[in-house]
Amino acid sequence: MVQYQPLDRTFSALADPTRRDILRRLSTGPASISELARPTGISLPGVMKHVRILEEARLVTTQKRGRTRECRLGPGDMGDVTRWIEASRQRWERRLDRLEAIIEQEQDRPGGR
Amino acid sequence: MAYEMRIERQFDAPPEMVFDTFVDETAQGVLHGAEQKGWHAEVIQTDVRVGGTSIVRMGPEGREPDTETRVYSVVDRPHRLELRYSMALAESGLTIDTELTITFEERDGGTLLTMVETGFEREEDRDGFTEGWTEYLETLGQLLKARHDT
Repeated sequence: MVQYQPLDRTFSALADPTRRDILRRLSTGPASISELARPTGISLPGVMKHVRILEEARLVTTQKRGRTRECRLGPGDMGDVTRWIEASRQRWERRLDRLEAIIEQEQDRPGGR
Repeated sequence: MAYEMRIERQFDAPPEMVFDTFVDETAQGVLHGAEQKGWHAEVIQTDVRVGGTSIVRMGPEGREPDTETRVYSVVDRPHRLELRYSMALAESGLTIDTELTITFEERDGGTLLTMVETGFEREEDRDGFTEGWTEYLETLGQLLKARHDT
C-alpha cells in the first residue's frame, strides 16, 4: 500500500523554488535561518515558515543553538518520490508502446495507409 | 561602533493581550524555547515592575545554560517596556549587554509590536539576536492564537 501522506508532504515541500534553493544550500553544509535568509532577500519569519514545511517533510532537521537555529538536511531521502515518478513513467511508456503497436496494426491492414 | 536591532511584527490581538503575554511568567519558558526538542528553558524569577528583575536560564539540554536578565526601567501597560537586557553566555563566559525598548501600538484592529535593541558591540551578536527574537515573536504569535481560539 502506497503511503500517500508523506508523498503529499514531500511533493508539496518541493513545489516551491525557495524551498528547493534552501535544500540546495543545505546540501553544501548546515546553515542558520539568517544565513539561509541573507541571499534570498526573504524575511526571517518567511524563511522560518519554509524551513518548517521542509522539516515536516523530514527533508530538513533543525536544532536551536543559542539565539540561532541550525538547519541541516534531514533523514527524508526523497526515495518515495523517486519511486512514484519511476512507476508512473513506466506505466506511461507502456501505454505509448501499446498505442504504437495499434497504429502499426492499422497501417498493416489491407486498405490501411 | 555599536549595532542596533529593530524588529516590527503585527499581531491579531489587542495591545493589552500582547503586552500581558509578552511579560507573562508562565509564557516565558515557552517563548524561550522550553518546548523545543533538545532545548531547555527555566524561568528563575519574574518581576515586571520599574526596578524589577526577571531571569530566565536557557540552553541545549545537558549543557550549562545561558542566563537572560531583564531589569525594567519603564513598565507602561499596554504601551511600552524599557529594560536593561543582558545575556550571559555560559560557553564563552561573555555577557552581551544591551538596552531594549518594546512598544505596543494599536494598528488595524490588532497590535504593532516594535522592538528596538541598542548597544550590541558585535554585528554577529545583533544578527543572532535578530533571529532569536524573531523566533520568540513567532512563538508569541502562536500563543496568542491559541489563547484567542480557546
